Parts: sequence; structure tokens; C-alpha cells
Amino acid sequence: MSALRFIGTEAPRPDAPDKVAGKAVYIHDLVRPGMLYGKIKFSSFAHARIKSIDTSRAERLPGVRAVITGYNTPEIRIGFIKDNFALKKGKVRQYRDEVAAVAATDPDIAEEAIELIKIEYEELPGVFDPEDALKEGAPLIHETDPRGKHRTDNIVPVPWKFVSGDVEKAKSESAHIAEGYFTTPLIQQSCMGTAGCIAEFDLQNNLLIHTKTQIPFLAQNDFNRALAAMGLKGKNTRVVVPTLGGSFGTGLDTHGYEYISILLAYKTGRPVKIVLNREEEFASLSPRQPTRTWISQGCDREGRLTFRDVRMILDNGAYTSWGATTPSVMMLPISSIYRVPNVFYETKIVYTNNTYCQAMRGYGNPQAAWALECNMDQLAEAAGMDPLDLRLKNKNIPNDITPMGLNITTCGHEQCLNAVAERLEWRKLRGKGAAKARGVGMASLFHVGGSGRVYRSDGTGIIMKLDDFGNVSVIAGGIEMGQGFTSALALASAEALGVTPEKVTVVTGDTATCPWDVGTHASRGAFTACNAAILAAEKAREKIFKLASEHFMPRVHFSLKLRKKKDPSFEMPDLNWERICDPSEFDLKENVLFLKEEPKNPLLRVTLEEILREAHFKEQGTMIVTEAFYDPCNQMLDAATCRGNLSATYIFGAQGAEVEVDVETGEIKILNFVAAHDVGRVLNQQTIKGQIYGGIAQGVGYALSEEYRTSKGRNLNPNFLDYKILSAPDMNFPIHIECIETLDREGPFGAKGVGEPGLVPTAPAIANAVYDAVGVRITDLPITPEKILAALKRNK
Amino acid sequence: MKRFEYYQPRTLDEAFERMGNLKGAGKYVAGGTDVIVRLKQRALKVDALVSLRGIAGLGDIAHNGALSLGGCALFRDIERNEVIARDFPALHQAVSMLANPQVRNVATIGGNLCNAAPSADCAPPLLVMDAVITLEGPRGKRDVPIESFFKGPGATLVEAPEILTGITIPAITPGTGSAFLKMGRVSQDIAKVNAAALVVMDGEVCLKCRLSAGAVAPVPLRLKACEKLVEGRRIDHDLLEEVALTASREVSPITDVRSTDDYRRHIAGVLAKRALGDALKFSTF
Repeated sequence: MSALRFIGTEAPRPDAPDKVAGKAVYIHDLVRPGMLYGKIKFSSFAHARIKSIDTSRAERLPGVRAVITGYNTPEIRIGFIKDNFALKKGKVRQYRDEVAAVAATDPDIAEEAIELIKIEYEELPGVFDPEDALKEGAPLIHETDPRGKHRTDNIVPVPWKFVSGDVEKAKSESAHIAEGYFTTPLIQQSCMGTAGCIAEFDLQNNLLIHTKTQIPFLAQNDFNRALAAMGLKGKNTRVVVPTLGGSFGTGLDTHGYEYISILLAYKTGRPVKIVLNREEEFASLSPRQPTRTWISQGCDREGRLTFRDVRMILDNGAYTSWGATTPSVMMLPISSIYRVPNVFYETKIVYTNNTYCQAMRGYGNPQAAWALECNMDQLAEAAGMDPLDLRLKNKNIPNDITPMGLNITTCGHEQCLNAVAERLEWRKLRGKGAAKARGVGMASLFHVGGSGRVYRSDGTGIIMKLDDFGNVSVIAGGIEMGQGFTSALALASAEALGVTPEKVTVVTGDTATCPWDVGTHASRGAFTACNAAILAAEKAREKIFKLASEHFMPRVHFSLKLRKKKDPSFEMPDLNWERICDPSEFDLKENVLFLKEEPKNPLLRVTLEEILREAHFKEQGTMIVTEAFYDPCNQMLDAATCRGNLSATYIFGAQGAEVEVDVETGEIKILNFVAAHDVGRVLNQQTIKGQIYGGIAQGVGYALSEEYRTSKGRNLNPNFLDYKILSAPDMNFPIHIECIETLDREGPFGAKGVGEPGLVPTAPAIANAVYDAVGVRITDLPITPEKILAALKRNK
Repeated sequence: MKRFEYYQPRTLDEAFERMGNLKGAGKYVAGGTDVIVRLKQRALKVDALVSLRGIAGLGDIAHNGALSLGGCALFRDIERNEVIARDFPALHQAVSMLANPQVRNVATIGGNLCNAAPSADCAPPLLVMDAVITLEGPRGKRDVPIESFFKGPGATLVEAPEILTGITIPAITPGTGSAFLKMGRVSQDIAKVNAAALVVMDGEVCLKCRLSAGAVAPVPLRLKACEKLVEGRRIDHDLLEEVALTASREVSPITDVRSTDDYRRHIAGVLAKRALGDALKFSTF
């Protein structure tokens, strides 16, 4: 590959100025002509039978245009296994169940109308603990399955089990074994931009919906099905995605509020906007699943891993989202981080009357890493080894196929571990800070780096359109939600095509104009879209060079004649101005076409825009628009065995922390933090650091402060007053980021996907450091001062 | 949020009259960082807000030995006042840890006191400084010691249409030191526990001691048993430990979403002890 001009530079994001200045248009800013405001009436109980709904007073309120319930609208089934409904009938199964909704001319009236709806409930016994829900005689959350078949338990029919080798035999032969039980809480994604949508119908009953989503094309499919359920079979949905203020997995499903907005828009014939306020966002969006993990690992006398046994229970909540597939990603590190021959993994997902869960950044991996990496330190202690040595001994290596069938190609695991150890001064500090209650800890990460085939297709489309001025529209199916997608795609497109990045405009988020994409998830946005852009750019270059073969010499001649006119002393070179060149003679770099043979000749150059104008602006002209569809070389998991090469490449990393514990208060202070990630190649120095810093900030929040608290299914802290994410003053410790470049052959310019992993190993790294500092192992996140202090007291 | 009227009177008398006419359906607003949030959360319903921001002089800070703060003095102004930073460090520290700069740019000390949260960060320093609060109403002025100002969570001595117009902190005497400490879940947080200490030292001996803690009782609390323990004695390690133990016994915290009663009780002791130690360091003798 020739020298890269833009890839790997420190390039400011094209979307940043507008966002910082408040000019970007989020769903909150968007107003449509004649728009009404929708509001949802949520359940007052975690589990209850709906006896009656009286909407008459709400209907009479001036300004109210529609009041809907499950009883006066078509039934719309939603969710991963269609066990949920847009509006509930019969019974409610969680506090956030949508029972009724209104559309009104202003938000205050809508809010007032909601309060006028009277619902009579008969409360049912609820179950809020997934282990209680598994007990015999536990209240049934769903009496029937989506097909109407009678259910007898609360187990979600999405089982996950992976078995490799013989764990029981390995257990009996291991020299050292460490067992642990680890839990993680519900976590709210805490997007700065809350969720919302505006639905509207044209006079042909086609739907236009502006909505916050990561999956516009799958959402289009979902909404078209809803239209069919509403008696509008054959009608189409156009999904438009406004600027997103973060998504972190919240946009992987379609949601009740979207369907309610559609129903209200259809009923009123007006655009209907529903935007969740912060309290509603907390109470009625799906948080990250809480997990309970029983884990044991063993090693031989030399410290080689012999087995790993992991059993999990996931609290699904009342309905099933795509979050029920997170065990497929948990399985990656569980089967394959560090080389381990015998693995048993099983997850039960259980219905409860808690809020239903969804995936969040990391797609289950943070929960898996929490158990795995804490338990690695426990095993190191049992084996009398330094945790770094145990990790190095069992590190992942390049060109290895794991028991799950993951084909590891490039792998910088060892470099990452060593980089963290060196930067943290591991050999000097580990085990030596007890007097000052200081310690160091580390953890590894293993994640998809080359997309993940969660659906049958893992594809993404790109259209590249060049205009008269040499501008390039890169029209993509992926979504910018704050992660830096457009920046990565602009750089890669510019690099691949041979233009400067400011010539590139990335267009996203419209199912009517953008090419298909399966969704922006699994850290796949830049990986897939940049690969597609490289393919589209190659096609565009072919077309450009073909045009140039005819127009290059005449254009050069023309401009030299102009020059001669201005400057009579200029000596016109003696060339064959009529020569038809061969397309293969050309190269294009930084908007300028030149002959490969004479790259330095200042006379033989034509700007791209001149050639493009020649092409368009004449009779029988042509235009340059190319497209490409990239679908990575990876596999869906085999349903029965859970084997398959899920991703085209894998990403590795390690993070480490030095902490100090205040033994009187239990408070943890992070003194130093190091993150080393095998990223394949850095596309944009600025955005990749933003990704990793952001991940660490979320990871530290996961470790120390974030917890979506509930009591009998009701959220107790539905705001940032009491749900504590970190803010700038909390990140007051040095963070060193090291990007290891392993130049992956599947990646665009060698890059791997980096979106999610920043937060994966953060919490266990901190927990391991706390253990090194004060000998206390906290196994339930978050690691609060209250827990540390209680544990210190017990240790005394 | 329900619609409401908004008035901005120019004088106290206008404000009293406006509030009187509203017959209990109005509320004063200063910075609005508590009131507006509660309106949006529908925890508060009003027909009208009467703003105090247009009344001249209410935001002033003056120092002539004693310190007077107008009821609408901005936290940001208090934080930046050099005399307060030098002579009243506990107040300075409390104010610089309160919420974040954006909030401190609009929030007022009078608003913080009238909101009467048990965790109000400016309460413990004012308690240890024996601050006096001036309330003005249509029938005149009254001064109340801060110790009797709070009646319970969200409840104070203020009787509508009275306005908290000022806070006076007596001049410090030589040998005075003060300090404030706060523990939150993250750096921008409501205190799980906060505490302030003030000592007047005569050489090694403590002549006067004031200790207070917040978020550990229905109102911000003076820790009088601790104060008694310290006054007339040298402050050494053993005494500090005794203070910690006594403070833990003096408080009556609750368990809520932010922390547990046990933990708060323990931390009240630790913070009281540490604040006392810090106050000692600030004392100039």
C-alpha cells in the first residue's frame, strides 16, 4: 500500500462544530407542519390485570386530538420474539407497560390528558428476582407464548449453550482451581439525547418516520409489518434518522413509543411527535441486562489454563428484545479469551416483572469480562502466580482457531498486555502498595473487530456520487450516533478515491436515499462502511480514468494555451495533444489527475473537477456514481453448537489501573490508567482516542458508580441526580492510550472495529487493582465505598 | 410543566405585595436551580413565580470584619471572593464543591438555605460560623440564628411572604480556622454526608469549637457533644478519634438511594474528625 495521506492523521470531526454550537438538528429540535404531541400513559403496577380503562375525560379535554388504547387500535406485536405489544391489553407485566396514549396540540395538554385517563387494575403477585422466577409456583409473566401455546415457566425460549472438550475431566486433573460468583446491575445507557420520533402519513398512507435508531433498514421492515397489521399492507415506510446524541445500543430494537406515534399519526392524520423526557428515558427505555455468573477456571502446574466453566442467569425483564442475543457475544471471550481447551458455558434468560432489557455498548461483553477477568486474578492467586504472568502464559496468539471456531488472524494481545504492564510499572508496583493502600490491576478484552454476523446478512452499502466541483457524496447505510462514523468514512473515502477529505460529504440516515445496511452495531460501522467505500472508490477511479483517457491531454493543452496567452514567454511543450491515453496511465491524488509516469511534472496535471465537468456538461454526457455492497467474510453461529467464525477479525486489548483506597471511607481514587488496544490501524487519531476515552469513562462509571436501582420493579433513580454517570471532574487522572497497529488484512487500510471495546475490561481492571491495594474483592458491581468498607471490616 | 405567571418586582415591598395577592399559589424564585427542576418534575405546582432577581442589592457581598451576604448572592461570587477564601475557608470550600460552575453561576445562597435540603452544602459552614439569617416581610425584619432556621426537610422558619434577604457571619477572631468536607458518589453530587468545623485556638488549646454535619438528620446538625469534647483541650490524635466516635453517635442518618444509614453514620465521624484536623491547619495563631 502506498503512503497514506489522510488515514492515521489527527483529523477534526466534520460534525463537531455544528454540534458544539447547537446547530445540529436532533429529534428534539425537529418540528413538522401541523405536528401534534404524543404522550404515553404507563402502568401503575409491575404486574396487574387491567380491569377497565376510562378515557372519556381525556377525550373531552380541549386540544386533545386522539386517545388510544390496546382496545381501540390494531394489535401490533413487537420485539425479538414478538412477545410484546405496542399497547397492552389484558395485563401489564412491568411498570413501563404502555396502556394508553394521547395526541394533543401541545405537550402540556397531552400531559394533562394522560392524567385524566383512569385505569382500574387488579394487582397480581410479581416476581422481581430471576432466581425466584425459576422456582416452582412462581407467578407466570407470560401465560402463553407468542403463538398462543400455554407456558409453564418463566424461561425465555432463547437458550445459549456452548461446550468444548471435557470440563469435568479437566477439573479433576487441574493443579489449581478458582471459583467465583459475580454479578452486574442494570445500567442505563445515559445518552445525552433522549429517544423520540415523529411519525406522519402522506395521503397514500405511506409512513414517514423521523426516529432515533441504529437500524433504519430493519426498522423499516418492522414498521412495514406494523402497517400491515394496521390494514395498510403494501404501504411503505421511509425512516429518516436525525442527528443522534448517543445511542449505545438503545437503537437496536424498535420501541413501543414509535408504534404508538405511528398509531396516533394514522388516527389523527397529523404528524405526531413523542420525545421521552429524562425520567421517561430512565423508566421506559431498556437498560443493559443484569447478570449473575458462576465461574470456575483451572490451570496446570505451569499455569496453563485447563478449563473454564461459566453459568449465567440473565434477568430479561418482562419482554424480549435483541438483548436476548447478547450471550452470543459473551460467548466470544468465554470460549476464546486466553487459550483454553475445555469450556462449558450456559445461560438462562428469565422473565421477571422488571423493566425489560436491551444490549448496551459491548453487547454482553462487559458482563462476561467482569466475571472472567476477576476470576483470572483469583486463579493467579490460587496458583501462586503474578496475574500478569498467568495472562501472558495463556495469551491469545495470531493465526489460531479457537474451540468456538473463531479464526484469529492478527492478534496484538501480548503487545497490549506488555504495554499496560510497562506503563503501569507493574513489576515495580504490584503487590507492594499495601502500606499505602495502593495497588495495580489489569484485565484483557476480546471482541469482534470485523463486524459480527448477528443476522443472516452482515452487509452494508455505499453509493459514491461525484459532482461538477469534484465534491464526493458518500451515501452510506450506517448511522452516525456520536461515535465518529462520518469522520472515519470521510477519511477512508478520500484516501481510497484520491481526493482531500473536505471534498467528501457523508450522507446517512434515510432509507429512501441511502443504500441498505444491517445496522450500526457490533463495532461494525467504520469497518464495514470503509471497506464498502474502498470498493466504491475503486469503481469510481476506473470511471474517472476512463474519462481522463479522452479528456486529459486536450484539457492540459487548453490550460497551457491559456497560460501562453497570459504569458507569451511561456514555452509550450511539444506533445501529442490529441493522444488518447490508456486509463491505466493515470493516478488521482488530492483531487488532481496526473500520469503515473510523470507524477512530478507540473504541466501534466488536471484537477478532478475539470474532468468531471467535461463528463457532465455536454451532449451525451455521463456522470460518475458508483456503488458497492460489502459483506464481510464471517459466519453466523450454528444454532445447535454455537460454533462459527462470527467476525472477520477480532480485537484484543488490555487495560490497567493504579488505585488508592481510603481505608477509612472506602473511597477509591484512580491514580493512573492505561489502555492498550490492538486496533488494526488507526483511521483517525482524534476519534479513536475519543472512542477509547469515552469507553473508559463509561467503564469507570460501570465500575464505581452506575446502578439503575429498582424496588419491586420500579426504578428508584430515574435522573442524573441519583443515577451517577461520571462527568469531566471525575476523569481527573492520567489516561494513557496506546494503539497497537497489527494491520489486519480484512480491515479497511488494516483497521479493526473499535466502537465498543473501550469499556469492556475497565471494571475488572479496577477491581483487581483494589484487591491488590487492600485485599478486598468486590464481586458485585458497582464497587461502592459502602461495599469496600464493609469488606474491610469483615477482613479485620 | 404547567404554565405559570412570572413576575419580577423591583423592590421588596412590591414582592411582598405580589406574593400576598397570590394567596399561597405563588413561590419566590432566585436562581431557579431547585424551583424550576421541581416544577418540571411536577413535585411543585404554582400559579406564579415571583423572581427576586430584579431587587437591587440582594446579591451584594460586603465585608467589614463581619461578612454580609445578600440572600441572592451568587455562589460563583462567593466562591471568587478573596476575603471569604481567606477568612471563611469552610464557606469557600463548600461553595466551590457545590454542583458545578454552570449551577453556581445562577444559584444563590438564600435559595440553597430556603430549599432546606438536609444535605445543603452551605449549611454546615454557616452553622459553625454562627451565622445569623435576616428575614424581611411586610411587617418588618427579624434576625434568626441559623441553628433554629431549619425545621425539617424542605421546611424553614420563613413565613410567606417573607424573604431571606441576608446572612451575617460574625467577624473571625485571631486563632480561628475552619474547614468543610463533603462526600458524594461522584464529584458533582448531592452530599452523602458533609461536615464543617471551626476552631478558635489559643496556642495549643482549643477555646471554641463548632462542628456540624449535613445529610445525617432531618436538618443540618450542630454536633454539640463533639464541640464540648474539644473545647478547652489540645487537639491530638486520640481526641480526633474520640470526636469521630462521638459524631457517629450524634447523627441519625437514613438509608436512601444514595447511601446507607450505617455508612453515613461512620462517615459523619470520619468527616467530623478530618474537618476538625483541617480547621486546625487553617487556624492562624
